[in-house]
Amino acid sequence: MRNRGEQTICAISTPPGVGGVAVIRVSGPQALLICKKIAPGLTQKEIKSHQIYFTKIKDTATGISGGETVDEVVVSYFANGKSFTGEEVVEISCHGSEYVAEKIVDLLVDNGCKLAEKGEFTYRAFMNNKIDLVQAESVLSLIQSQNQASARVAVRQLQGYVSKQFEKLESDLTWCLAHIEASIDFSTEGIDVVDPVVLIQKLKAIRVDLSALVSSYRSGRLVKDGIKVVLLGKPNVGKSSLLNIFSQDDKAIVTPVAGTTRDVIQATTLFDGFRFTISDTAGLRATEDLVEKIGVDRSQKEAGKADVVLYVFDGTEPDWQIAKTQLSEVNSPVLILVNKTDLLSESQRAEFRKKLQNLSANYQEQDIIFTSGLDPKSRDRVLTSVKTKIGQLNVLDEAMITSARQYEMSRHALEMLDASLQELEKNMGAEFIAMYLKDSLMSIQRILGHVFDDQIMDRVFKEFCIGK
Amino acid sequence: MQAFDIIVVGAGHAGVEACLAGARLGLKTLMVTTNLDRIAYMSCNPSIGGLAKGHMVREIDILGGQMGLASDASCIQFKRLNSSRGPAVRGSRAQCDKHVYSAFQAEALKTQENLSLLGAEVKRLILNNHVCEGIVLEDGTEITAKAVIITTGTFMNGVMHFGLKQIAGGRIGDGASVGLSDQLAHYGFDVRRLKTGTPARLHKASIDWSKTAPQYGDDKFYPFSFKSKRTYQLPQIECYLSNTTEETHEIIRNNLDKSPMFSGIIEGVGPRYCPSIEDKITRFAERKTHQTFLEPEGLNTDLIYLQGISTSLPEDIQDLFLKTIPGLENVKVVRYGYAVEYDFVEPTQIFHRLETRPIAHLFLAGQINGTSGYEEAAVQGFVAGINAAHQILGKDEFILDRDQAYTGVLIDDLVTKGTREPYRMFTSRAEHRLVLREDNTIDRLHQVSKKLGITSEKELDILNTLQESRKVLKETLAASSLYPNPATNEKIVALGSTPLGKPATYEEFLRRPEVSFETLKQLSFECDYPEEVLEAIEIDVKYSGYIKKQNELIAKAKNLEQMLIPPELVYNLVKGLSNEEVDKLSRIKPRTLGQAERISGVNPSALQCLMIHLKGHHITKGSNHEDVSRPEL
Repeated sequence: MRNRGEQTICAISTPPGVGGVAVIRVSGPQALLICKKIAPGLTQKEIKSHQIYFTKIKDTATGISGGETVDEVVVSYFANGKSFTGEEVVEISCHGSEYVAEKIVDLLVDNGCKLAEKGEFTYRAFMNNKIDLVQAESVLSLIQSQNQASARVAVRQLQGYVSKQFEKLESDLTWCLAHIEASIDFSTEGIDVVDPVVLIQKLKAIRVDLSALVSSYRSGRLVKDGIKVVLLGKPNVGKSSLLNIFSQDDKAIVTPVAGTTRDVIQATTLFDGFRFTISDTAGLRATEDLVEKIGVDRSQKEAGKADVVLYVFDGTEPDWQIAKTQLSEVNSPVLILVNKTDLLSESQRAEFRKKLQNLSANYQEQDIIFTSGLDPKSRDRVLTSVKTKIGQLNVLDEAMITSARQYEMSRHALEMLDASLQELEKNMGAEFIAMYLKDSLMSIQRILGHVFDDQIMDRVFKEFCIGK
Repeated sequence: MQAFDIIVVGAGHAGVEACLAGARLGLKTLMVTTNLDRIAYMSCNPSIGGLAKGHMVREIDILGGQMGLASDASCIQFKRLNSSRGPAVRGSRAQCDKHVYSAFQAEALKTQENLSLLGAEVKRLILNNHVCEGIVLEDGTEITAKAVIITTGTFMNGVMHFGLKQIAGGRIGDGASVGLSDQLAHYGFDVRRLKTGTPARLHKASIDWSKTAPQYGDDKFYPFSFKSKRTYQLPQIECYLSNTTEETHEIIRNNLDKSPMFSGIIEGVGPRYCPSIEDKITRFAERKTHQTFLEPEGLNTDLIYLQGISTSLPEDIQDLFLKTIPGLENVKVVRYGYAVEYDFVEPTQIFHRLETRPIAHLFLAGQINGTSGYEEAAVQGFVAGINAAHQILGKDEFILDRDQAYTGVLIDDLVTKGTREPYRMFTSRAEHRLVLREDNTIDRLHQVSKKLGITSEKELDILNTLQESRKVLKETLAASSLYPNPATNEKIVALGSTPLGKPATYEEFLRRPEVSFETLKQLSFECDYPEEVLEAIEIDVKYSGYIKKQNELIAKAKNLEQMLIPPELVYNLVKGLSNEEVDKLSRIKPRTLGQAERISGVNPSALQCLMIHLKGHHITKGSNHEDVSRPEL
């Protein structure tokens, strides 16, 4: 079989720096041939796919007969058609010195390898039909995953779980389109090609599947990128102390002076398998101080991007008037944190709840949390509530899309499907239904890379780094 | 013998268009046919048009083609198919008096300046190092020409099958043409077999018409040609509907072993879309009946064509099963149905201009390229005629785009994908169906026609006037408004619509589904325009949203269509193509990345490789496509 990549490429696939081992990946028609040149010991052996071999890397440029030993390594060999890229692949595991790994790459290049470009291994896997575009994107997600949930989602994507859903949509849409087309072209032959009732049923069933995928993006994004939480409130209500408790770090400077925090400060933390990005913001108040003013603007902007806003009250001196105005400007879901409440009695708390509910009937009991900057248990209670507020994140059972590209295209496919259903209900001609349906189908095919899209390179592979 | 500019071999629907186009462009043209009495003969169904086919007839009519005029002159029943459906899938179909049709075309040829006719059989081509320089007749006479167009239809190595009996010939009463296809095969052409069939012709007086249902044509006539009168030129007749019965199916099923298709004698592939009754019964086994139309072949003939029942079963079996069809109990068959098997040239071996790749100055058009249908043949003949002329005159090649004409879709499909069965045009083959309508043919091709120069000044004036009135009407609609005063609203309600809430232009008002120009007329809008103008503009206005959307999709697709691939590109040098892809791409030599994408077996990732290669090699925009490298024999 002739592969898409004619040149053999190589790169260090482990992160830069010192480690226990470093892995150098070589892929292309001459992978083994070139490796044999720098590891002459391999020529003595019968090399089989999916086997590992212990050998020595030799630098023959030195005067020493047989070459100077660069490192003792383990080589894994994957035959053409049986590797991740679909090409002949050799992986060299050497000792984790940056110098040694780079020296081996130099030797490979001297012997005919080309240095791989960003994402080129994955790109070749796609070009050799080993993976589709959805799977290619999952490779990146998997590499970047920083928590259990996102790794799990990425692995499922890589295994083709999401691709299968898109492929099912592709084949269902194709069925509908083919029948609509035939009903047009055979309209004069006295043959009923498809019962409109059956067609509507089928399209509605497709709609259910497709919209499930589209809405999975919200969860998918939260799983992949983490949950974005923003602390908001008047100055000096204790937002920075809360940030420090939540992130279990001393990131924010805490002073009794109102307006200490002037800019957005971010910290991340893992909790219950998810990543949380928490932003502390400048306290909201009218101010003449230019720097603080910019900070306040940024706070509001930050709140707009939040998955959940934590609005913080000073439990000892709540300012209801300002809270009312500030909360009315927030569009994201809100949890109310009543801070500095270690000293509040149960009846005082009840009264607080009542007052809050007077402020807006939106705030249910579970949306109000009493916290204290001194109490580490606040962290669990607040982060658990954030997850509850976001709703069910069903990572295990559903196919989930996590890439913006897939999301945009699925949403377009859904819009076009809806447009065709509308035409069908308006009793418009089959050719109009077909036009929208075809656009919908093309969008699904673009997601999978089943039709040519000249932006594939830019949209999918540019985020990769070298060696992947 | 004296030299010609263009020689057209064959006088069928492709041949007629080809030689007229050549002669009308001022080139000295010769048509050679074995039977001068059968010019533009309707060997099968006596009708022109239908879905997507009617579109093509109108396309070449505007460009200067002949088929539309002949159909209009011989039309004895006209129907607009799908008239209740959307505008893009309506199609005109004319049943014709086949003798009037033939006579009309023969007259056109005989009176055409620059055109000579010759009754003779062409034995072979004069070929000189992969350049065609003329023809050799049966008696050895050589006639030279600068271009030769072959339009031999089903005649190349034609074999007719009547049951298990076989007779050489491309049509009943005519012999086969032997020799040409062998010569083509010798020159490396991939020559294959196809099959088509025709039903029995029945004697009018032997049919009990009371058992059939009459089918009437439309009162309103939409002639194919913009040059024709808007009224019927011949008296209009009825056709009749009957159907097969379970008994019919039983007889056919029991005798399938006597059908050459099923017994394996015929190796050619038959059309899926125009199947024989044997095919229909086998493939749609669950259907208890199939409809059939009884169509008179003309005003002064006793022959009735049995549409939908093409067959190659033996004569005695045909007699048996025909009598089970209501109305045909005592039928007398004048001519039995039969199948024809013939050679065709795999059409990926020709360029868009219909010149062959292996042999220069040789053009192929019609069934020889694997198509089925008079209309498909005619438009190819027209395009081949123009291109042969342009080549001689040193002008640019004439290629219609896929978003411009069905004719463009047809030829692009043939040369890009090839075909394994007789290719019939469908609306679904056009990805830009909504903008390829019968009513907007003039918008699509008016300017092209002007440039081509076949259509006379006087005729162009008709087109200009039509175009101008469309423009004026559209502007008037947008410029004048209706106001929601009580008097107007009362009228509007009386006309079956809902009152206006705020002022609306006539255009906006016309968008309402229940509103037509008839309504506007009642609201004192000046509607003094030809009916076809009113209809086209109404469609334009009513469907503007959809058309806009389609145009956006076209614009998206245009990116790839505008990325030209230089004809000299050596695909072996493109990194990453599979052997199969190199093979296919080198053979078909797509003009654009868009065409490459349509080649089956060329994957999206191959296009990626091609694009990278082309971007690195500065793609030339607007290169011409003269292929200089021809294989050595």
